[in-house]
Amino acid sequence: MLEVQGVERQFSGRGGDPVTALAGIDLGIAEHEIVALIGASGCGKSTLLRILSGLDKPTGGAVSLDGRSITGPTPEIGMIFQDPRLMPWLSVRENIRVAVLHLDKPEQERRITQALDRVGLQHAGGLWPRELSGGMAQRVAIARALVRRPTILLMDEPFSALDAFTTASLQDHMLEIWDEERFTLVLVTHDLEEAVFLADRIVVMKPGPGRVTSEMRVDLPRPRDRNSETVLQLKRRLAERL
Amino acid sequence: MAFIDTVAGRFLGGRDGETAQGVVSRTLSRIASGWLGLVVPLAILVIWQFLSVLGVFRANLVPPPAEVLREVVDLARDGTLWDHIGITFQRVFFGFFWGVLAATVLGALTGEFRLARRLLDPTIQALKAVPSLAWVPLFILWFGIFEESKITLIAVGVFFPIYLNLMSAIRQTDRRLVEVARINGLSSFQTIRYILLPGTLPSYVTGLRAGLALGWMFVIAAELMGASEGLGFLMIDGQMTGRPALIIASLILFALSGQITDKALGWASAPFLRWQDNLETLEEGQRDA
Repeated sequence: MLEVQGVERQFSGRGGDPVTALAGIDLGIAEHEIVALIGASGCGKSTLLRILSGLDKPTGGAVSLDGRSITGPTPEIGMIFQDPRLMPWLSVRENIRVAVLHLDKPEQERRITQALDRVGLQHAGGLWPRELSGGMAQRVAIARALVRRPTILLMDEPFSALDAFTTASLQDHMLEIWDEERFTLVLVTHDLEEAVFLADRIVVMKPGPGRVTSEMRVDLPRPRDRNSETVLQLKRRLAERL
Repeated sequence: MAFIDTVAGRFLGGRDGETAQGVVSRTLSRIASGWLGLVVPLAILVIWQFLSVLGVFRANLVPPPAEVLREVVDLARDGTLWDHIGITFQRVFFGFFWGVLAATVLGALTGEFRLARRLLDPTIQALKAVPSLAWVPLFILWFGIFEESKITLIAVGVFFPIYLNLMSAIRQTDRRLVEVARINGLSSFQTIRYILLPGTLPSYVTGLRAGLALGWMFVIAAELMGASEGLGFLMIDGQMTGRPALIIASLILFALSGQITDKALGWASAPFLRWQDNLETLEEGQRDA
């Protein structure tokens, strides 16, 4: 259980007045749940995700995972950014290795091979990042997060830079991986279809200051059909709430 | 047959599946494109020799290429050439060594730590404004007229481009990659090893090459101002004794030395920079393809 209690985040703005990016966020995320955070830009959804990852610290309130409070990055929580963020000077394999440096060599090799397999890039290990397409690069970033075997995976608009076709195939693939690896998935998105297609629960946020305004359950069985009437209907209802 | 050809290609250092013929033609075209750069210098030599023979140039001011060559051969034969080249290389080497050392330590400090930057960088920037040759009188007073003052002068010249490149490269380290390091629990040492070092290396190498070029510039200055050995001394000697061939010979030797050391530096750093996605790698790739 990932719990967010009264999380508040203020930044020191221009001229010294503090800007409140998040005000009093309360949220509980169950094991193996998929939660989508959605909202207009400036609503603090990415800030909230960064706080969950431990990259940023709340100025008020707390985040805890199974009762232990999160104050910095931890191996149980993985993060995938909007851009792949690969080291251009490392091959695909070595990029993934960066996430498992704490393990011994044979275990590193085993896990890297497994992670590459998982994202369908078993033959791309020797390539340089510059040789990858956008979709492949993001797959490597996913492999780099999976290789640590996180119980919670955070994704910050992970497919927003990709074309529609690649996005759809990566979303399908991500669900498969989620189903097999049993992690909890929290993703930030501004794409209504992505939210309805992937999530069990959609958390709607609004800016000024960033807060949760409503939640929507998506009780549809998977696999879901992106073009089914129910999905389209849910998209419409979600759009009304934004 | 094709298989044998491929094996032969492998043996000749080709890549997977490349035939021997492929390797040979690739190598030949590489040599040919390297030689293209020699066309202009050779043409100049021919025209120069031609005009000298015609008597267009006064031989006591512009000696023909053949005489320049003879001068070099004479010096090489009595062994003094190697002494002169050796001492000049030695000066550049030590000056470069100390300049690189100081620039690397200070550049790393001011690049990484804000306090060090605020404390040291203004002073270093101010010192940069002093034309390097203006240090000469002071260095001679402090370190005497022998090796120490020359090496110090070269080190000062080498220092600045390396310092500036390294500092700005560290400051421009991609914050997003540092976040990846944090998320994955990398230690400070691992962050330096996997992100900071490789990320700053291209700029650092650019700085090293610029520094080396300045090192060669300053060794001439140092040797022109007072030396009993070295390529710069040979030039002064040629001026004093009225031997333009000696001056031109030293000039060419300087150019060659600078080129060779620069190429060596580029060659030594190339394996670490292969990942770069720029025009140079693109050109390499096309030539290889």
